Amino acid sequence: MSAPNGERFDVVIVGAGVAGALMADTLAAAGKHVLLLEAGADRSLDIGGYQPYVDQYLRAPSGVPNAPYPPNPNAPSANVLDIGNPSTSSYLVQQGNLPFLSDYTRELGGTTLHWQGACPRMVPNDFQLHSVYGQGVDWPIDYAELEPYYEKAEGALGVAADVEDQRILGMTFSDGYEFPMHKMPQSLVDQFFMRTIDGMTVTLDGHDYPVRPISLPQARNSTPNPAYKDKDGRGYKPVSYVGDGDRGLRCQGNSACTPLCPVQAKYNARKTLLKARATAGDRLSIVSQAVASKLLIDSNSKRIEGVRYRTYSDPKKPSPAGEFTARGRIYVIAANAIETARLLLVSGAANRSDQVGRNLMDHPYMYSWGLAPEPVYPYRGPDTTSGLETLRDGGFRAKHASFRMSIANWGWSGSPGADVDQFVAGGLFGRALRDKLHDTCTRHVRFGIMVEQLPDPSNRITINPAYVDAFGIPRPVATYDIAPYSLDGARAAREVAARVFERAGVQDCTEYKARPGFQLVGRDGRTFNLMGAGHIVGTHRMGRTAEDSVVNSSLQTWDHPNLFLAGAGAMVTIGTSNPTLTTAALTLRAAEQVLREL
Amino acid sequence: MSPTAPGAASPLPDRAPGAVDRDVFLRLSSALTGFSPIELQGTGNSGPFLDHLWRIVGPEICGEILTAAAGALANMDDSTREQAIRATLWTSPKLGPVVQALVRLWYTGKWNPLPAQWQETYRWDHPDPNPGAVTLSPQAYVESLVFTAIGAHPPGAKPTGHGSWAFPPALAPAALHHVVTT
Repeated sequence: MSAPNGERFDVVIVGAGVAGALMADTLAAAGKHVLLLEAGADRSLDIGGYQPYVDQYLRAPSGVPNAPYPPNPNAPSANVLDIGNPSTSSYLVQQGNLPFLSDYTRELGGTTLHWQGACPRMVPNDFQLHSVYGQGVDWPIDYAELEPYYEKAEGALGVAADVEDQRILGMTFSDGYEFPMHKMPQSLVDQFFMRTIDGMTVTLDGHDYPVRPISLPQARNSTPNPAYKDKDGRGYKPVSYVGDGDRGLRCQGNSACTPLCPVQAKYNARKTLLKARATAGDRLSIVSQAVASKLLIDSNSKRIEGVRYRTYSDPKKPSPAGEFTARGRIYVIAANAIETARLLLVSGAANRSDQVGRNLMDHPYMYSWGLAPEPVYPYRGPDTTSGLETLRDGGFRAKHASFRMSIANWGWSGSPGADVDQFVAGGLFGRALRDKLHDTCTRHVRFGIMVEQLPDPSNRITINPAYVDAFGIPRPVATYDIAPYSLDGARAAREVAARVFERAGVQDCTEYKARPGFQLVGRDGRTFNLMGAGHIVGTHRMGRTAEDSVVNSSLQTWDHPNLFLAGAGAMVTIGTSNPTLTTAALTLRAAEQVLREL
Repeated sequence: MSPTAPGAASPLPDRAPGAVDRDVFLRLSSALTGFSPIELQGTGNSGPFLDHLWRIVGPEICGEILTAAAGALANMDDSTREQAIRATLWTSPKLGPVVQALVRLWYTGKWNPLPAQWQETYRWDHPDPNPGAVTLSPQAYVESLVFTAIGAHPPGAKPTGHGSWAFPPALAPAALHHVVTT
């Protein structure tokens, strides 16, 4: 697409992921003229722009989050396969005690292309961690303030869940609220644990907590709930495969949510982009292959007066082309927590508090796995349909991290190929091999355990002019570690998993050791294979004052009145929820402030 | 064959697999995988897999495999047949690694290169071009037998239908027989 020369927009948005798309949709629907810049390749929003991902996946099937998305040297991103530490060769330079192991996607639709689709809300105490438990910091807003925006976000993303299931840990809902779609059918694996651990409690720090599987809210098409009404009183209609109204109206069980849903029954931000364009027509311009390189700041007023961006001609090879300036009245950076921080640092923007890039968080993520005593037929359905959710909050958070344990529907690994290799190497073939696979893999159970991480100013994204991208723009540098608070939480989580397995009659096969692609992190003689969860949070935190935060609760920067930062980077703490829903809610709330400013 | 300098690729003889080769290959694949010839034929992969083997290990070694297979498969008794396959093929230093790679190909759609030692000994003039495991084709992946064996489906393909994961799978008849009888 050509660059809009000289045109002045109401709002210029950088980043066409979920935050940028929701912002663009809200503003364009309100009659504003919006320019959306996306660094990723120029693709159509119809089938032609999506099907190549599916084809690529089937040619080289892999559960790696970015496997279906072609490498683009003009707009590279962090890569979980490139986890050397320290490393200066990877796009995301690693110089911390531990590597930062999560990635994102620089494509139209952003990381929602490969996300899992999990949409739990944050629990009320996540917003007041310091007041209640003396840990971390409090948010400038509380659950009650965000609740109506959670409802809007659940409508915008299309969340399937059950209100009664979610009334835990203080989460409340407005009178008569219903999710757009009924909860996703819970898997046979879920049902096994519901039956075998019914009534179970565990003791943490002297208090008993119930442990039970609870359905997981997810942005994935299920059966519409006829009781749902949006603010205009309309019911919910599932959003289909972009470009084909008959596909993707229900999750049909492709079991590949990460890295992609072949029928787009899982929400991705392309759906919002398409909706925005249908609503706004010419008022919304989307320009891809446009890499924001610098924010231009008026030295007197401190207002942003433009976004410099570089274009390229060929996504397959480094091919810098033109350089342009986009101008608007308001600017919204929604480029994900790493890229947004990088752009701010490169521009010398919004950093009076010295908090830009700091407090980088993720969920240290680990597995526990075992063999059920009976076939539970995993490797089918959405990645996860239930979790052990009750330990996401409790008095123990004064001492160690909380955690959320997903019940995996995809067996031990997502693919049973490793079992084939192992059994063939053991001399099995023919009927004996087939029977052995059936006997073993149909009993694979696994928990995916997300552990809370506190904000730590020394976990951060910086830039270093020694490391630059294809345009000569400094690349992001990660300095990262996992503190004892989280490792003690991991230890507690691992013990809970072991007890749940024991109660359920599951043979615990969990073993943490050095293995390719996994790091081994130890504390007090215990070690864990910790991965990243893909939840990149906290590099431009919100707060109450300009001294200790980058944006206010409306995501408006303290330093530049016409600059907003939308994305998970604004989150003050990470709690134990996957951050996309909260990001969406914060963005929809911020959009109201943008409209007020206009 | 006349001596050739190491590293210089000798031309492959131009003989292509014939109908008998294909029939023996299908029946051998059935014995190696535990899936019936009809099931394997239904995947559409039997032909492409033999062609792949022909290219990678050459017609001579393929010929040896199929000759040994024809002999072993002539045994009518299941256990005798399995013993014969194990003795003449599975444990053979020359043929074993090839048939083991073939089983993994049927089950996962991936071709794993033969061990370097094997390639040096038997195929120094025509080594496997791929250094690592490769998915042979989308169809090889989609029809991977492992998923059928465990009542699942390949991620990203052959979805089982909305809500199907809340119930036991409709397994292939042979596997269902297994569930019923054990």
